[in-house]
Amino acid sequence: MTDEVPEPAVTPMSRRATLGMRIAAVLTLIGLGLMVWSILVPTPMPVMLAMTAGQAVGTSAFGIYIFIVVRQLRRELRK
Amino acid sequence: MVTWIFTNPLLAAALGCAGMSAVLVVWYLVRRPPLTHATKLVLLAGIGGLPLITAATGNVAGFEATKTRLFCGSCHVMTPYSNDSEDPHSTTLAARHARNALFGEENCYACHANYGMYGTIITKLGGLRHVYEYTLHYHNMSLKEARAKIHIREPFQNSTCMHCHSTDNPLWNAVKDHASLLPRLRDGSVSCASAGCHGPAHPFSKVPL
Repeated sequence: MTDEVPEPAVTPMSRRATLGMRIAAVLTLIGLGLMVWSILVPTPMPVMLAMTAGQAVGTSAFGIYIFIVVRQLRRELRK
Repeated sequence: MVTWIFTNPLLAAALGCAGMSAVLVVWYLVRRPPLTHATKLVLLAGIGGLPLITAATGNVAGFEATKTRLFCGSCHVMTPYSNDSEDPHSTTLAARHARNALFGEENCYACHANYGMYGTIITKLGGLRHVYEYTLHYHNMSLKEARAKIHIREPFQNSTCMHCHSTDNPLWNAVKDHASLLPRLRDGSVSCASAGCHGPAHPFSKVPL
């Protein structure tokens, strides 16, 4: 007798959520890169890029994360 | 480089949070764990919380960085101005102010900032215009060409000087020229930086090429 935890079923929905989460993770790394660049090299271009593109990319990543989590929570609540 | 970053708690916090966030996100990308509640909580920190702290502290540090002479002087056309400010033997108005600890590394900003309720916002918008002009018109220009073309957009406001040099101060009013010109200095019809008074802050920029 084993206490193995069953693997969660991979549905198209969960595959899309995983892909979305990976995109969010990559966007986060890009945003962080821009922010760290502006801290290490505080000259006009890095600072402006961090405060515009960096913010936009980071916010998009968090938006995707929230969207995926809220959608999964709603589905679980419906069940 | 590491020393100056870790002497500023804001920068240290921003870099620390960015590092922790990167570790969590890279862990997720490399290990590819299933999207369980635990994974989502880890990602909440990696994609949400820690980058938010990085952005907040990084923004404050960024705004502070835009006030420094190093930042202004990083555009090549501004190097004669920043070099003059840094020269301990220079007697220009700008250099003498830069040697004052109250101005110090932020002497460009202290004199060129707009004061008042919306001063910071107006100054930052003006700074964006500088970046636009530099990127499109001055980026590939030689220093000699740029020096002939660069000029202050609006006349230097006496109110900027009066921010520190109060015209109500008896010592200030004890100077005969100040007292006799008081109404004209206050309404801006005579400039503190005009020839015959204190002169231009960057006199080398006024010498014809």
